[in-house]
Amino acid sequence: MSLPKHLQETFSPEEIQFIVENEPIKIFPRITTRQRINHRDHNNNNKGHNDTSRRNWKLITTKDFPLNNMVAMQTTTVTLWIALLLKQQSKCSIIAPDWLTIRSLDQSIQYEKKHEDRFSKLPWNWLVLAQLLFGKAPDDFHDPVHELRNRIQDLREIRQLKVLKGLKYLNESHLQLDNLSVLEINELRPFIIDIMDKLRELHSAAHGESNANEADDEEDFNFS
Amino acid sequence: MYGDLANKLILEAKRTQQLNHKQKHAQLPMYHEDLIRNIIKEVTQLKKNTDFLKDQQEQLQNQEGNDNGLDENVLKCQYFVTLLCMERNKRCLLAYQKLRCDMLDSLAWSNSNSSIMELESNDLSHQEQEYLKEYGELITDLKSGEWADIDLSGSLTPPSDVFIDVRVLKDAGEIQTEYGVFNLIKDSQFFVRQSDVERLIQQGYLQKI
Repeated sequence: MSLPKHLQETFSPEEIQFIVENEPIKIFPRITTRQRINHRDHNNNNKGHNDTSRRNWKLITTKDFPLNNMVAMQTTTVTLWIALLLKQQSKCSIIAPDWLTIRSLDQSIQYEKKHEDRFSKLPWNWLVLAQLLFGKAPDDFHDPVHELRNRIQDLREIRQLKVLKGLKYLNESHLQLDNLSVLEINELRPFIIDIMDKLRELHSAAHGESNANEADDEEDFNFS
Repeated sequence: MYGDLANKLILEAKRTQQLNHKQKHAQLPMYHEDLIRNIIKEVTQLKKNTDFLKDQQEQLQNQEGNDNGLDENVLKCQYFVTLLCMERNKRCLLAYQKLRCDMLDSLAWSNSNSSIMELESNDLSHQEQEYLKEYGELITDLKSGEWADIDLSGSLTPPSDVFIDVRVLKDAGEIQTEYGVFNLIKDSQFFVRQSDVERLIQQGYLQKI
């Protein structure tokens, strides 16, 4: 088919990363793009020069205002993919989000350990964002990166254990997975959905008559 | 039994499916022309049976009187089972053909026109070759129509890097792309914009992202 088999019912990890790259993030620019308002541009020559040198960002999928108004070392918020591009050319440094510090990660780990039955409140993209930032902007963290990596790995393992526990409760109707991140959901999706589909099929086959009756009742109701 | 030949065909289909599960590029084994011809022969045989049964029923009805209720029931049963056998054969044939069509479609999308011709043409049945050609034409129609700005058969992995390093795998001399000229000498490396070379990577001239 036009869509390859492995993409038909789930996202690939690359696609997840692509989705996450559309999130806003704070940066310290190292370049200034804001146009200085010249109080006295009396000579035309100078003005003409300005016009040729000015190149504005013109974007259609995201706001270009913050990009045309960057001042070196003043925080702004831009979309993550732009931030990564600028970072590659060392034209900005990325400010790590609040939850990506040793202190708050430790708190999350504590929370995970204390509450066996739930996941801690991490943002939906924590794994992907952490991987991206560790890979492309390791020098922008206040805390040592290897410590952060350790914490992230710990969190991931704890949560994986909980997921494995939760899989015991697969049933034919529903499942509640608060605070599970997008990557974690994505790797479970094919498995969970397949199993639940099978369970539901068996269930509805066994209780098919009652369902049919209900449907009949509804129809009656509609007609009357 | 009547369904056995069709079962063999389905087993074959299953094998093809598993063969392609592992590999990325679809590979179609030979079209099972003999087996399919045998199944169709079986279906015509079944058709003859039903005709015969129909005649018999008419005869029974003409006889009237007598207690032919039992015979009538027997006839009905025979008629129904024959029908089921035909139904079964039809389903198996369609399933086999659908699987092959799906794989042909994905072939047509993945690396349209270039490599299909050399690889597959002798393994396909005549109708499949026709189908593949027409499907390819449909795709080019779609691409050259309203959405010409987007390369619909392009890579499906989202772009994450603007510039990439590529190494040349095969000597191909000077190649003209839409964006410029490359001199592809084996084992040389380029640092290029990804969108320029995506096609060449797909065709296997370049390696590495």
